[in-house]
Amino acid sequence: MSTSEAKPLWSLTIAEASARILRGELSPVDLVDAFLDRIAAVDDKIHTYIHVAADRARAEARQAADAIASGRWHGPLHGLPFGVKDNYDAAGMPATGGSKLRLNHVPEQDAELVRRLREAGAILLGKLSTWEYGTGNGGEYFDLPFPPARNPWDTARFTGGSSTGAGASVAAGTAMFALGSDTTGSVRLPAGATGVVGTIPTPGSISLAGILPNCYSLDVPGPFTWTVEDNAIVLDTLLHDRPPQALSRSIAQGIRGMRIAVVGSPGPGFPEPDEPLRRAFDDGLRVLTDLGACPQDVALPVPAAECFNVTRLIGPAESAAIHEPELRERPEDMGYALRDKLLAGSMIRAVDYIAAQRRRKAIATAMQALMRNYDALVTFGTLHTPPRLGVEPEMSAFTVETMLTPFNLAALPAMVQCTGFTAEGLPLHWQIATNPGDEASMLRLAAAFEAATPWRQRRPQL
Amino acid sequence: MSEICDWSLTATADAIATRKVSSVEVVEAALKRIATRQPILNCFVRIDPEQALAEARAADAAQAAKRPVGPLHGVPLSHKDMYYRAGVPVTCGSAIRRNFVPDYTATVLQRYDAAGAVAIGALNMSEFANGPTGHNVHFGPTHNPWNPDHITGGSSTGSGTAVAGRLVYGALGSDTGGSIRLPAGVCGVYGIKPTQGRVSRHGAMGLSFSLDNVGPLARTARDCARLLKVIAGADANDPTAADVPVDDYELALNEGVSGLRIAVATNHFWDGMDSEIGGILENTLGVYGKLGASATRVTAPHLDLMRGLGNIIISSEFCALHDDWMRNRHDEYAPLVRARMKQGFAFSAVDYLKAVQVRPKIVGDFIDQVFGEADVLFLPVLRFPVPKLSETDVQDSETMNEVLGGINHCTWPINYLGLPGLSVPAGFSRSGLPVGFQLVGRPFAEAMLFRVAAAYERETDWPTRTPSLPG
Amino acid sequence: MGTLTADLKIRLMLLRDSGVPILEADGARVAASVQTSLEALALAVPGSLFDTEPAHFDRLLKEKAGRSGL
Repeated sequence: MSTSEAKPLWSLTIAEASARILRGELSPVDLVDAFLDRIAAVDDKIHTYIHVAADRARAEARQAADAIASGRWHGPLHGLPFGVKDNYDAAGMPATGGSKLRLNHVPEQDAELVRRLREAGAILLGKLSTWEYGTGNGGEYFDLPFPPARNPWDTARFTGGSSTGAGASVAAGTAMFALGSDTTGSVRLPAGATGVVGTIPTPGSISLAGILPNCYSLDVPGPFTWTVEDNAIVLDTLLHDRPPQALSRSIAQGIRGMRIAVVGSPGPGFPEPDEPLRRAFDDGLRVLTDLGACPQDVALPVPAAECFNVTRLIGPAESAAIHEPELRERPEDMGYALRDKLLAGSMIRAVDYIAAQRRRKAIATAMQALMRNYDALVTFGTLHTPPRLGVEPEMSAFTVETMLTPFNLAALPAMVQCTGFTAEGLPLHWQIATNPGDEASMLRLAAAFEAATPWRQRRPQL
Repeated sequence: MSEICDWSLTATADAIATRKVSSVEVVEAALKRIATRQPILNCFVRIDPEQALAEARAADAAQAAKRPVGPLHGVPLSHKDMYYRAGVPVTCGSAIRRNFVPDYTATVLQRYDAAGAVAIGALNMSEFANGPTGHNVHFGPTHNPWNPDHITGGSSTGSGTAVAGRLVYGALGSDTGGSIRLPAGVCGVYGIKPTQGRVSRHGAMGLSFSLDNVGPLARTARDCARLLKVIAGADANDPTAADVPVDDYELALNEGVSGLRIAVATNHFWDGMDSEIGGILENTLGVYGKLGASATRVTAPHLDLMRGLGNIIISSEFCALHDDWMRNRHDEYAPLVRARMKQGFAFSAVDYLKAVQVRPKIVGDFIDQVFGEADVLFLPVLRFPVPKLSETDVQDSETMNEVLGGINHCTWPINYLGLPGLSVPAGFSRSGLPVGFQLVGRPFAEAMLFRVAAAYERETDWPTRTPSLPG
Repeated sequence: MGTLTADLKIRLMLLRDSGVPILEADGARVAASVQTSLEALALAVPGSLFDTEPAHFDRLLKEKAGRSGL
């Protein structure tokens, strides 16, 4: 009996599950039941879901099973269960945005990405935990309508945010894959904290329609998966204007000769990374070198701390413009983090916002110029290991002190993946970025690293 | 030889190209007339006769050596002093930039160079392109060639005057609230504010990047069309320059207007219209009617919002650029400029974002409602006869907003709309000063504007009337 | 001029805090101008204009261009 057959169904990857479904060895009905059972067993400890649509999922699983049995297989996502951050619209399910402001908001139409996944036959299990309106700088105030998600690797710890349920759900097996959104790190931070693969593709290549906006000029959606191959499969379904299966077909090509920029330091203004992250990073670079890649040390053209400061003038201002009516009419129904951000955003001056966007253009030009000389760039994601939930200053440090924002400002595709574990069993990660439109290169690099390391063999013990 | 100065740009280019006259002869004639008229008009801030003659000699030599000649070969132009040329001082009409020397050259200047044009010095302008009259506290006011006591309109003050005063054959201006169309209309020449994004702004001093436009002034429709054709189009150095194909604007000129539908928006634009000016505009419409076009009165939507929304954008963007200077070199600004723009520091980012975010909806409505049933929109430039410099020297007084707002009342909304607008000479008022009309079109419909303008020009021939000035 | 609305007061405070010299004449003039702008915004953006796609002005211009003028 192979290792894959002995695994619990909730721990199957997309690649494994779809292969077994196609061979007739696995029914979507059993698969979805396994995930719903897993949710019932563990989610009261980790709160990855705000809303579970169990009956509908079971019904869709039966439909998928019937379709596949009569030869109508839609592709590798057919019959596979997923979750979406609760800022995505899904028809007939509440889309609360994690907020009292929208507790009863039930959209009639799916967000575009949800529509695409369901058209590919995937089965939406429910809406995943999120910071309110995708907002937070690390402070956990326990003042939202739903309990905060908890890290499955240690339930006293933070999952990362703002896609707080998405990474945790994939790590814990309450969803096979998940969708989140990223403005200044909200996909890559939780993916890093929960030891899964989280990607943000090139802005403009993936639809934002039907996702509650946070900041128009920075928002980008992105998928969470257990493996790199799974992520490529999901991205192939989500990106527009790309040849079919372009990414999943290209990631096993190896990385011999790949030119990799290595950014080992955030630059002035942020601390150096925690030691376990640094050790895993250095070990990882040795793996890449052994695989034939050519890493070269470079510095960021602009320190990560400055990039973060620029996002502080852009993000809150745009959020305040988008959500002005809510701030005006129902501030008392907001959690502290959202109200604080929108208030701060409303006080930003036009001249400062405009200056920040001009600075952002200069940063983007410099970052893109750097990136053009390489196939990929490897750096840190966050600079700290996952903190204890609600404990300061480690929560804010974890969220704020990161290398994530330069890639948002520069509109470059980026991802994180697991690079090992601390002595306490907390996941470590690094970040990979690449040129616009070249998601294939970063996925190829990540896939080669994943295949050469044992980190995917370990799941959280819940 | 001074008669050469009265020729059109295209006639002069043809004469040079066919060797009837040399570039040196043309430039010498221009310089001679400039020397005589500049003390009256004050349209130049810098003249550089030796540089201009050297360029003219080079143009003649290139022709003699049988090298191919471009559409502007050997023709002298001059430009508003805000277009960067590497190594050459550019003052932007200001004291703060009096000694600024850029190290790169604007795309539009490079394109005129490549077309063979000769540049004569640089032209006066309102400080930092900010002011619709023609006053400048640092360089002195520019004077209207038809009556030097009167304004030229601004902010491309020297451009309107140098072209109307028959000193150069064409000039670049810039337009953020009317600054090409006003001086063109007030000085009796053509001036086009192209569609937002039609022309590269690389190397052009910025005032408000969401509203700024680059465009030429010239004496005939054909001249203006040629000058726009040379500079329009995408530019790797300016991502806001649209990659929409550039029409051959000269090709459109003889199509006529039979069957065309002209919309006349009377709300807002005709408020307080002087009866004499109104009469001249009605005559113009009568001519179009005779030529087979039909005119319909329309009510254009959202006009009541554009002053308010445009103010947020222009003042915030100006203050973002001028933040440091406005705080630390406040007294070096013309009182008018700092008074008009200071409000930019009052607006929140949310105010700004809303004004920008709503723009496509407002403009979409406007285009659908006005151009749904019309090919071109007909508007005034000024609703009253051209005023005197003394009447409009408001600086930062209590009447500043009212007087300036009255002057750019008809041109201002077109910038927020992002649509192309062409000023066309309509005639002259009893006071002897020009009256202009505006043609506004769909995005990227500059060819239609030149076509409609040229039809009127053929019936009226205003470009043959020249101001009576010495030299 | 009448009583200043809360919104206008906030804007004038932003101006005062900006560090740009404010002359006596500026106060009333800026207040009137800003008030006009705030009123225009209130008319142009009643409630929430925002949907989940940002506005792209350059795309709109290309969309509405229609045929060439020739």
